[in-house]
Amino acid sequence: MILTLLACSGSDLELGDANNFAYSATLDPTIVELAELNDSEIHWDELSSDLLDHELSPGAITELSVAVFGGYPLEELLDLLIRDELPQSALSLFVTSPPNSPARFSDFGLQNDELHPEQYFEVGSGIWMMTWSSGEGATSATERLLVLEPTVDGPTSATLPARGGELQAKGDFLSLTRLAAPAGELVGVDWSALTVDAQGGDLPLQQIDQLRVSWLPGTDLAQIGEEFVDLESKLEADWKLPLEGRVSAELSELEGDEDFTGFTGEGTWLLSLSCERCSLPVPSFVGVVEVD
Amino acid sequence: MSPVTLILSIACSGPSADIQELQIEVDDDVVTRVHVSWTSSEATIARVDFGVDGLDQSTPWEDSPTTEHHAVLLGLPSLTTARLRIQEQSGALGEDEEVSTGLLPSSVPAFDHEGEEFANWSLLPVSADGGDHSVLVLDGLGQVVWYDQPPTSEFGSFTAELSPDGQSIYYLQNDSVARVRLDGSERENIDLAGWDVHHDLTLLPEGGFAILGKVEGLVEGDAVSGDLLVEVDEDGQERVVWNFFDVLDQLALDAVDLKTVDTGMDFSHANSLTYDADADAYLINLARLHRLLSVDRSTGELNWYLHGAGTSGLEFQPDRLLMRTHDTDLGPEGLLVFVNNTEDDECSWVARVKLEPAFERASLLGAFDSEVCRDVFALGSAHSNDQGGALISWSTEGVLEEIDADWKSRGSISVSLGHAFGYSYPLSSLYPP
Repeated sequence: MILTLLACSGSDLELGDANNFAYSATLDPTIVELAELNDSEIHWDELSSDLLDHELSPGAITELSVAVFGGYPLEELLDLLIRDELPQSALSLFVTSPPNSPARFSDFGLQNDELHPEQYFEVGSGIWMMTWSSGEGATSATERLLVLEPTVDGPTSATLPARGGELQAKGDFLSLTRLAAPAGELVGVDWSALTVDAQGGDLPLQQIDQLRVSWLPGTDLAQIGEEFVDLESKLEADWKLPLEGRVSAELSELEGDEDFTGFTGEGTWLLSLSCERCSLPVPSFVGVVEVD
Repeated sequence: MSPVTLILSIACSGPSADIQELQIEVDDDVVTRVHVSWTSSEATIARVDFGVDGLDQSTPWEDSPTTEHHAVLLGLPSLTTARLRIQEQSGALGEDEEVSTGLLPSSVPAFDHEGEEFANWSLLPVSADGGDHSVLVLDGLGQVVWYDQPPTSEFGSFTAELSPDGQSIYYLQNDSVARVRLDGSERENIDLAGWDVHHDLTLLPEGGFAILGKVEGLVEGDAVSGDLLVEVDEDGQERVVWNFFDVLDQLALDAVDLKTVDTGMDFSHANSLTYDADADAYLINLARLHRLLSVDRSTGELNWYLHGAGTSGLEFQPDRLLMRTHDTDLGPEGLLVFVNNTEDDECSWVARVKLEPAFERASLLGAFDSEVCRDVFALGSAHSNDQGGALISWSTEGVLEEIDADWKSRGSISVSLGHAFGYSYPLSSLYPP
C-alpha cells in the first residue's frame, strides 16, 4: 500500500507541496525593562550560546542592531518574525552599532543619524528589539535577541542572559508524502510545482538558492523531527548545489567532499531547498527520499 | 543566450515579405527581457506586438526599412508565457509565437500588491539587509519586469531615474553613476571618485546629469561637512555649480540651526536634487537646515529659499511644518515634498506647495497622509505621474503607493522585512516616447 503513496514520476524527482515537511517554532525572547528616555547600557560579555542554544562566543558577534516595530502586539510580531512574514512596514526604526560591550543606545545610528534615546525610547513607542549578529553581508545571521521595554523609573542597565535557546523548533516528517528515487542513479530534481513553504506560507521560487542532499544513519523520522534544530550535527554525508534562477537541477551537479553517486537503501536521505540569503534559517522544503 | 531558445524558420506568405530565421531568446542577464530577431525577404519597417493576456504592448517601429530585424520585448513578468506577433506597417507577418520568461535571481525580492493596479510602471531602487541591492521596474501589480543589480555595498542606490530619451536607467552606486540601457545593449559606469557622491542625482534635458558631493568648510569656527553640486555633461566633463559654504551667509541661520554645531558633523545634509527646467535652476533640499534652495544653474547663485517653518526666506505660513524633508518633485500641480516626521508629528506625509518666487511667497496647497500612519525615518519621495496623481515611496516602510488626481490612494505595493526603497519614479512606458 505504501507504494501508492510515493510520489514518483518517471525517473526524475518532481517535488510537490505534499512532499514537504512541516515546521513549527516558537520564539520566546527575554524581556528587560529599562528607564525610558535614558541612554542605558546593555551588557553582553557573558554571552555563551545562540538562539538555538548552540555554543557561541562574544567574539563571533560582528554587529548589534536595534529595531523598533509598531502596529503589532509582541506575540503576533514574534509569530510573524519566525514565519518570515513580517512586512517591512512594521519597522519604524532601525539602527546599528559596532559590537561594543556594554552597548549604549547612543552607540547606535544609521549613516549620519544617531539614535537619541532621550527623545525616542519611551513608553508606548513600539516594541524595541536588540539583536546580535554574526557574519557579513547577505549571509549574516541573527544569533541572539532581547526585547527592551521602556518603563518609567526603570533600571538604566540590563544584561543579556549568557545562554540563549529562545528559539524552539521542530519538524514533522511523518505527515509528508515521501519522494521515491531509484538506488544508485543520478536523476534530476524539479521543484517548479512548489507553492508553499514548510510553514504554509507562500514560496517565491526565486528565493530558492540552494539544493542540498544529506544523509544520516538514523531512520526514526519522529526523532529527526524533534531534533530538527540539531540536525546539522547529525549529518554524516552532505552535498550542496548553489542555485540561481533555476527550478530544476541534476543530482550529478551536487558538490561535496566526495562525488554524489546516488541514493542508497540505508539510513535516511533528506533533500532540501533553502534560501540562504533569507533572514529565516529554515529550509523552505525538506523531503524524505524513499529509495527503491 | 539562454538555453530557452526557439529557432524557427518560417516561410509564410505575409502581406509583403517573408519572415525567415526567426529567433526568440530570453536574455541571459535579465530573464524577463526577450530578444526577437528575424530576416525578411524585402526591406520593411516592423515591430513586435506582444503581451500575456492579449497583444496589448508593442515595441517601437523600426527607424528605417531593413531586412535584418531585432526587437526587444520589455515589461514581461518572470515565469510567464507571452504571445507575440510580428507586424510590418502594412499588416501582420507570420503566425503568433509564444515565449516563456525565466526565473528571477534569488536576490530580487518579491512584492505584494493591494488595491487597484497601478496606472504606471514604477522605477524602484531597493536596499537589502545584507547588501544585495537592486534597481527594479515593477508593473502595476508589483511584478518585477526589469532589474539590475549594483555591486554589494552597505547601502544600495538611493535613487534611479529614466533618461529623457527613455532608453536608459541612471542610478547612483559607490563613487559612480551607472547608466544601463533598458534593452541591454549598453552599460556604462561613470566614475565620480573624489566627490563623495551621495543621495540623489538629477538628469539634464540635453544629456548628462548633476550629483551632490561633499566639501569641508567652517561654521562658527568649527570644521564641518557641507555639500557641493556637480554637473557632469555627456562627455564626462565635470563642473562644480554650487558650494554650500558660498551661500551660507545668505541663509539667515538662527540659533536653532547653530545649536548643535560640532566639528566634523554633516552640517547641511543635502538629500535631494531636482532640476527646474522653467527656471534653469536646481532645487536642493538641505534637510538639517529645513531649507529648500533654488540655485541658478549657470552662476550657482542662490535665487531664493523656502524655510519649512517660514521663519526666513520666501513668505510661507504653513499649517503643517515642512521639517525633516527628503525628495522633491516639480510637477504640473506644484512642488511635491516628502516630509518624514517631526517631534510633534510622527507620521510622514506628502506636501503639495505652490511656489511663487516672483512674489517672494509660497503656500501649502494640500497634503496626503496614508490611511495608516507611516513613520518613514529615512528617505521618502513623491513624483507626479501622467495621470495627474503621484507615486509615493514610503521608503523605510517598504511601501509604494499610487495616488490619483484627487490625491486618493489607488493601491500599494509592499515588500517583506529587510528591504527599503529609495526615491522612486513612475514610468509611463518602457520604450522611448
